[in-house]
Amino acid sequence: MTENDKFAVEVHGLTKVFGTGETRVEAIGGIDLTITEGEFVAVMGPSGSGKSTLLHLIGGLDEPTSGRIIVGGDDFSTLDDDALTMIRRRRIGFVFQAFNLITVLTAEENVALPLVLDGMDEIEAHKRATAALKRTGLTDRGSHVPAELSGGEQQRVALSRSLVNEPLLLLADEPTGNLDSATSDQIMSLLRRLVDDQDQTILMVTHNARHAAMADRIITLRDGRIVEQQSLKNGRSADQVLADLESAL
Amino acid sequence: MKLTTYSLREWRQRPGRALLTLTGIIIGVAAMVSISVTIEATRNSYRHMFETVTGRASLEVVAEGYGGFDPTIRESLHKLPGVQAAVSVVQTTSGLIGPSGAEPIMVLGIEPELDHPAREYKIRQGRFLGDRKGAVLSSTYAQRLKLKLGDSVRLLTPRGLTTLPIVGLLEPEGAANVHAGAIVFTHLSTAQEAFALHQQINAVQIVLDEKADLLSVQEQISRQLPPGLTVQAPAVRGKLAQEMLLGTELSLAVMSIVALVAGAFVILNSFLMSLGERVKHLAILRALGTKRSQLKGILLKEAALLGSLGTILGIALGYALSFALHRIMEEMLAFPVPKPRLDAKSTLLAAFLGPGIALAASLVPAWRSSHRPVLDGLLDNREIREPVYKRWPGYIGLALLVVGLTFIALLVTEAIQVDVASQLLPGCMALLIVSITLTIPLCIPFLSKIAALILRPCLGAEGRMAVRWLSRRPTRTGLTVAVLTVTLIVAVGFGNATQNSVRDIREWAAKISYVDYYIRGYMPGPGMAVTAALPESMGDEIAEIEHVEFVTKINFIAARAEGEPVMVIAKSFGTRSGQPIDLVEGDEAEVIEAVKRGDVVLGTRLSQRKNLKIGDHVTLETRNGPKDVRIAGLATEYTAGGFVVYLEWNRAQEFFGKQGVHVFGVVLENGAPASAAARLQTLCDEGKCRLESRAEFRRIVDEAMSGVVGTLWGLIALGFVIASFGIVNTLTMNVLEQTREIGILRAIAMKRRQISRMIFSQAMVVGVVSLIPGILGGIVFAYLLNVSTYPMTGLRLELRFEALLIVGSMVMVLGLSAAAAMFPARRASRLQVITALQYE
Amino acid sequence: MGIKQAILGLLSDGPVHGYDLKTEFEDQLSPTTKLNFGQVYTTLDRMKRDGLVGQEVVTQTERPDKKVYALTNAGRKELEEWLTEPTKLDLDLRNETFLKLMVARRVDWADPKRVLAVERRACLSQLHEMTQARAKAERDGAPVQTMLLLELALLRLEAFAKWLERCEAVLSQEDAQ
Repeated sequence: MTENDKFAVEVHGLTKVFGTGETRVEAIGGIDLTITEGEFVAVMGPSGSGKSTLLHLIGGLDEPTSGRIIVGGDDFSTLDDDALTMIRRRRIGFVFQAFNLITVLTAEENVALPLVLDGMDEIEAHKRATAALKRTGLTDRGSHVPAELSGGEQQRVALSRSLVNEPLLLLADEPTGNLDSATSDQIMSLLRRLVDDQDQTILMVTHNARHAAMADRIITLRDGRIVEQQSLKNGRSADQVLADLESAL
Repeated sequence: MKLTTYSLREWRQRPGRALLTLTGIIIGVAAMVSISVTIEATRNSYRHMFETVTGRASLEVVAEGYGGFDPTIRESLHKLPGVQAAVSVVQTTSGLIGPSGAEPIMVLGIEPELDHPAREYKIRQGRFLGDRKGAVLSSTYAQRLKLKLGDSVRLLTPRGLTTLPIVGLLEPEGAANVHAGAIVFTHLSTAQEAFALHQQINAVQIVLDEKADLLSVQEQISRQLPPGLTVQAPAVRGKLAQEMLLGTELSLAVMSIVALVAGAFVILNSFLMSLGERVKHLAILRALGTKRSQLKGILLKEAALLGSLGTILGIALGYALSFALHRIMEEMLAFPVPKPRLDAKSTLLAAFLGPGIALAASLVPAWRSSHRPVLDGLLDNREIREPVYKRWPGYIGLALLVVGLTFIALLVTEAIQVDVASQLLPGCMALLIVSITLTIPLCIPFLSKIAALILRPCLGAEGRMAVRWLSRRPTRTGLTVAVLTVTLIVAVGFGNATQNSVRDIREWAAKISYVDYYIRGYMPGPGMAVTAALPESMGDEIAEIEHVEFVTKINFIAARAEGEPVMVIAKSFGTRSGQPIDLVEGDEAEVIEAVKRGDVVLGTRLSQRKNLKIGDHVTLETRNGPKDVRIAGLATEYTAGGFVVYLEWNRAQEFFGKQGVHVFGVVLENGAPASAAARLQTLCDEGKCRLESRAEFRRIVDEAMSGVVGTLWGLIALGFVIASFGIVNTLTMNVLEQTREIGILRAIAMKRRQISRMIFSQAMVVGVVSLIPGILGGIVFAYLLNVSTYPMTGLRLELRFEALLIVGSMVMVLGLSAAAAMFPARRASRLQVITALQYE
Repeated sequence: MGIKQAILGLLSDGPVHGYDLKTEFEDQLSPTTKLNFGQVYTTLDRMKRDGLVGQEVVTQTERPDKKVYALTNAGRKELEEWLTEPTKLDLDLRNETFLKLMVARRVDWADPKRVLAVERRACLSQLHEMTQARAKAERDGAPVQTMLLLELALLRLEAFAKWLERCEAVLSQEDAQ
């Protein structure tokens, strides 16, 4: 990482507390982290570790109790709801475990939604939506509603939707949680390719070690704090692994 | 326009909710349009009627009481500066014998050569009034009655039945255009003869010069007139009747506002329900970058679109309904009313209000949806937190309630004067309603416990759970209960007051109808503006029939007392005892003697308005000038709204001239055989009048009252049905939010039936909880309404609590609560366990 | 290790020259397993002794005589049995990490949590590498045998990672009490 690499995300002293008095829960208790552009970061941790909360805060879906979040140079604490909403619209893409597609719209309409919300012309939005669907391998499922699509297809639609506005940051919350292993692999390799080929910055929450290990860096949370950070970029190359495999057997 | 696509799809998926929303708008708009159109048609019906007859004349000179006077005054009036022409006429209402008996009609006797300054006549067929005998009608009217040129018209007059040949038919324009053309033109002399006016006229119509100033000319004329004659705008004739109509108009207008409010309530609930179901999608939209204002815009646009669609349908339905209303009004007015037209004002009002109430009703749901924290809607296992329940409105409500109750206590113990208190009564009633609405959420936990206690035997464990769930949402539960409570209060209060009124009217009708038979031309409308006069000689004929003990004559004369238009009821009193007046003050026998001597009895409304008591004198304008008469008694009178002066028959003739007889009252000897009645019937058939037995009279009054009571029950039922939409909404929202808990309960082996019972229990608790403050408040409301009657009408109505109404309302509330639970309970019990549990 | 039975499999179609056996094994069965001739011939000898294969000599005109091997009936039967009976799974219960963990629990100054953290790091690192390798193999169109072996490696690593998580949870609970 050189000084020229820009930070996509900066988090300083982040805390988040729910409830008051007897029901007070400290979901996040002081987190600092940075994510460089083009980095693929995975966040792991047991239930209640605060990983989803962290994601929601970075995505501007919730407000921190204290601390600062800076995405693409914009300090969230200085922004009102409208400005935050614009950031979610243009600079951040979301992929959720439950897909969260609008059930009454077709796949293509779902993908076009962020563009339509931004006031883009209908025809142009259609074009871009189709292109985004192609990127995730769904060329001929555009006119189907989510009910007619398999889980994997739905998640790919969600992924296309998250990419259609060419976001600075892609946030994925357990993207493979509702998918079988084969489909999960497909989605994960899609994500990996996005980072490798198109320099997409991704922050992904997962409890699946295998999927987490596909990232460039793993952050482990426990009880609302970072307990472990591990870079995965300095291991053996693929060729070496294959070679080692032969000799091991 | 993609966002509209999204909106359309959401509603297409929920046809039931869309229909419900549309229904709400249609209810409000249809009621408003039908009432507005009808009011427009009837509004100035009397004024219009009298103004059209006078044509271009802006003033008329009449005698007090509209009797006959010497025509020579016309000359001097004609010569006054500013007067273009003074035209003599004989203008009366009468009865035209049509296919089904006598019909109300206006008769105008004119001097054909001299009439042109005032009116225009366009002959369509035949000729105008040339020679003396003959009548000219509007062609449309003739068509309605299936009369042609050459046929005769038969009129009820003080001379008996007058037959006139139709010599001409007019185009339906100008003066011939009086309300569906119900007017007959004849020569002045013909009219004078028919209506027993002996060379007299009963009106001089003044047409002014173009530049003349109305008020100064009026003043000039006034100075010229001898005592007993007065100059007025033609519309004044219908003033009393118009005032009666005003009361009806007001009630209709209030009803249309209530309908709009009810419609808005339905829309509010259906929006809350649908937006509740769409929480996930709306949260997704927000997460994807929809600004709050943008989301509000989307939702409000949906409301506007639905509002517009509903408005179009509502206008159509309203127009159709106005025909039904029109029928009712025509019957009430006893005069043809122009067919309802979809006028610009009503249409514009609807076009503005329809989408308007849809938008207004959806403002709060839209606001709540846009301001909900995104994660609350996005994540399934989040406990959807209701906006923090603030207690302070409840405390304000309590304070207001205390104020209101103190006021009532003071009133009951008569610590404050009723007259003083009555000014504050409307404010007090409004205060009570507001305070109850605010206080109820505060009392929910307490009230729920009571309800649970009451319901425990039948609802068991499910009931207890229901109470707990309801208590977790005090604002939502509180508002639902408040709506039911307010509806109960209004229903019981107004219902009780109305029933008390109705009972009083029935009693009054029973009291005053002591005769065996009434004979008249036709049933008159309100204010008696339109009546037919029968010949006095008929009275002698009747008296000659065997077994007739006594004939009384009754006339309704439009006159003025103390500057106010009043109805003088002229009655002839015989030696027979019998209470023809429903006295509230004064000894019967004494009063009748006093009246025979020339004193008067006032209706309570009039005495209240003018602050007059027994022993006071009241000034009556007569044709001989103002006359002071002594007040001998006060009476309840429902004719002419209680602005009534009872006068002895001969005195009335002295004051106002002979005008025939409007109603004969016939008393038969005890034990008179049926043949007597048969003879009466024959007499009436010959004279083309109506014979009405006492029983029939009472029946007519009864029917009208039953109509009122029936409408009352109908409106109450409708009100409750709409209020129960609130319950449906609350339950639907509750089920939506409790989906996961339901799943868990089902997984732990709770049967579908028990889940249903839990939802059902919620509804019953809400219903029972609302009964307590509702019935109590209703009783208080009824009391307040009763107390406020006297200051307004001078009538002291007996306060009786209608057990049937109260019990019926309770049953309705409970029944509707149960019914409201049907769909949500079914939905809850049908939830697939797995799906429900996945809400995590 | 199953090499014996694999050779039986290779012979099921017909006699095969000893030399060819090695190449066929690597080409068709397991490209990542490199056998040496010594292993092959030793195994063949043992099998001949056990009566599972037979040796024949094939005379060639211009080249030295070839020794070919063929299945016997007993050999065929053994092959059938092997293919139809389940293999005894090696659960790897005595793996070194387990021992390390138990020792760390016992030893005063050692922290089992640290052991787990270290193991986890290594595991994740390996997982990352293996995933990359698998992606590359897929891109390069590696044979199905390679892909399946890579999948086995990945899943084993995944399972191991999960086990480490469980150890962490149980040990934390133990500490809390």
